[in-house]
Amino acid sequence: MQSKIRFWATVLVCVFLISSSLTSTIEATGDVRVKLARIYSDLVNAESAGADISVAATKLDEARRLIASAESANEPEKSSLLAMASVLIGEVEAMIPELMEAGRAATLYRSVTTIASVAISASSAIFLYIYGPRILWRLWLRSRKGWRVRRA
Amino acid sequence: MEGKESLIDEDISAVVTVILVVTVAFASFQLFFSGRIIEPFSELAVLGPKMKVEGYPKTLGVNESFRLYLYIGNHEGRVVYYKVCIKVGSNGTFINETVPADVSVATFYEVILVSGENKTLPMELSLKQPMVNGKLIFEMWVLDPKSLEFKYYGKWCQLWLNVTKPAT
Repeated sequence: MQSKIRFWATVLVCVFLISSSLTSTIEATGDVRVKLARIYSDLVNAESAGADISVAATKLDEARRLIASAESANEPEKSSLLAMASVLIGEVEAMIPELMEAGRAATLYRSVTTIASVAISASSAIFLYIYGPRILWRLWLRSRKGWRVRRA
Repeated sequence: MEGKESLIDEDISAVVTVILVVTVAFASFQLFFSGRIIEPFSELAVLGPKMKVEGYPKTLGVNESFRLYLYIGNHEGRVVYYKVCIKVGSNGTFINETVPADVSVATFYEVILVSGENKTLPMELSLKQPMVNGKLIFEMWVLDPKSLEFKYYGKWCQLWLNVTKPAT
């Protein structure tokens, strides 16, 4: 009788351990997916701020691929794939502040370049409008200064 | 003589001004709009087993595996997280640009693409139920960065199929 009770107690403990480990894996998969979505959202914001996110996006896609592989894999491969995906997501997360800063700097540089180009173009246009004809005719006369006029 | 010189000056000034205005306008347009996408769009295509728009299966056996390719292209001007949901529908399954097919998702494929990037993904598919004039529907969904939920993007492809029971 006692051995039977011991057997069923062992079975019960095993079932509990297996189900809890399964639950934790499912939660982990869901958690990693949520984190992936959140980091994707941050990446979209960084791109809007002018950042070049191509490297980070490639990493994030690789993390997504690992999660997809983990969803169809069995333990212990599943956990290792999820861990690799988490590492990649963490790397992208760490890149975002730097990308945002680079994006802001690039946007500022673009604005300054645009304003400077427009200002240079406009001032060139005004200068040429005022002095252009005078310069043109002066050059024209200089190029013909050796010419002699003869009555035809 | 003076009048004649003045007339030539005015003509030249006008021509030079027109040329300058056109040049400045063109340069400004290029500066402001270069690299910007005027009309953003995404591409979705289903390719046959040889990665071409041909050779699609028409009749298959139940559980018979077949290969197709999924082509996704991003011209949205921003990074996009795509999800293509594959659904099995019948002749009467309704779908349009705003309403996705009201049938369960058989499987899905995902990809994150930056603007200007495209990917062709291989798909190994098989159908579990026999059907006549069935539809294999490929719907494009994208992850909304605000709500963090996938939303139907209004693009879909479909493949008409007959699936037969294996002869016993």
